[in-house]
Amino acid sequence: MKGRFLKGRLFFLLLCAASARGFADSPPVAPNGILEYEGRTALIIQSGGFDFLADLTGRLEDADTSFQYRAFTLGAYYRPLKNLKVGGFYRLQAGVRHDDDWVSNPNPSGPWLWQDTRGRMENELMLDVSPRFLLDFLPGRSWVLMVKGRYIYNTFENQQSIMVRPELTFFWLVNEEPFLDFLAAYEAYFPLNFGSTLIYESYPWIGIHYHVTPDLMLELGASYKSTVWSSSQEWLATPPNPPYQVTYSRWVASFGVIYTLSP
Amino acid sequence: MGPVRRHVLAVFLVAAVAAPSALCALDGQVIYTEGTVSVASGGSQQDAAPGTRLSEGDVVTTGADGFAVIDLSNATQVKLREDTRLVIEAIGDSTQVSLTAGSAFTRILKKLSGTFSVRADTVVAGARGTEFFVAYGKTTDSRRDIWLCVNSGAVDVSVPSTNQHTVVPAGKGINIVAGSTLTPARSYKWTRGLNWNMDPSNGKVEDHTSLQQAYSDLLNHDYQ
Repeated sequence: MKGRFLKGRLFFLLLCAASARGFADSPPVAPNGILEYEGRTALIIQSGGFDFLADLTGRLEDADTSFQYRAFTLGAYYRPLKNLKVGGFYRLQAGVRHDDDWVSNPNPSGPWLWQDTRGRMENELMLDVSPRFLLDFLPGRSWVLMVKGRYIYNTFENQQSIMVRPELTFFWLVNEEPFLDFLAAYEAYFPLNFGSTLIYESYPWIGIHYHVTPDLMLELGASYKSTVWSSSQEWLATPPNPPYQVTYSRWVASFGVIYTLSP
Repeated sequence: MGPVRRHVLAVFLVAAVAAPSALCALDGQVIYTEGTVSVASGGSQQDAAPGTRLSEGDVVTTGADGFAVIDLSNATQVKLREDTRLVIEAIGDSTQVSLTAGSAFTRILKKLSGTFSVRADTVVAGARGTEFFVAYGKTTDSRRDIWLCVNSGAVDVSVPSTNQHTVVPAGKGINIVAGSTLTPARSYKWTRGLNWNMDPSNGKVEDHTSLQQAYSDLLNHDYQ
């Protein structure tokens, strides 16, 4: 009698564990209606044909708008041709969420979760090429079309990607100098050796730059970002989990201060 | 809105300094040339060389590789940059030249008994000063910008057609947009490279500062 009772309890516990585990094995759920905030400050030093750039960027992310992403970028642009700029940059960043950061809970009965990456430093190298053209046949004559192409190598899992961003800017000139400029762009990231989609992140983007002085500029922007989360390695290694693709969309409002030095 | 009327105006950069001393009533002469420089006088044209005499009505022209420094009445010097055309309207107590193309540096060597004027098209401006630079900028709808930068003294600039007026102090410059709109006088980084020297014995006199630097290069903007 006692033995039967113990077997019954054991069966019940196993059933609970199994059901809990089944509940926990779920792909990431993309929240809706999220508004994130991004701020950055950049210093550009123009010297000898180079534009040296130092940039600090931070972003409040997720539903709780917690401070997740932070990055420091250092590099330079060079302009070999009137209509072409090339650049090379190094970025130290933390708080980036990759596909493989969807991990099981240390608590066996807890749900899967995103790994906290705020303390994980990543190194990125970027090579940049951006042809640009003055569309002076358009009304106002101060339109610039640029297509930025950027190769990105992230030391984290040796991820490589290509970013492409066509952008159109209208400069409102006062006394022949920019007073405001209005920018519309579409940015897309193509993974080269990770993920399961052609594009893992893309977004339309609009921005305004207020040229306070020829050296000082304030930047306001808004974008609607879509990121595709593909199955993490741990997820796929946990049978019988099927592969997933989850699209996470959110609004991002950005603010920036850019200072240019021309010694 | 009425029809757009194209004004035929003139730029006068008037440098007037009271002069107690009398000046010799000399004509002008070329004192330095480099590259292609010519003088048109009385219907004929000749290559210019140091010592070439200049009279009222003469036209001094520099080619794409040309530079010239001329002296007017031993009181004023004008340095013509490349692709410049300067008409000597009058020489004497009131000396007047017209800049019809290109750019020129002007220096008043000593106090004048009268006035010194530089004239250009589309706008009328008056200036007083001892050393300044005048240049045509870019052309929009066939109307040219005119740049004026002051190295020493103060320059009084006005646009009679629109009753605009401003004073440009040393170290600052203005752009007369489309030859009609005065902009506020301020420091321009591109003017730091101007070579004000007109005396070959003090070093090179050529100046190759690009006027394109005076304009914001919209293709250079790249913030991230």
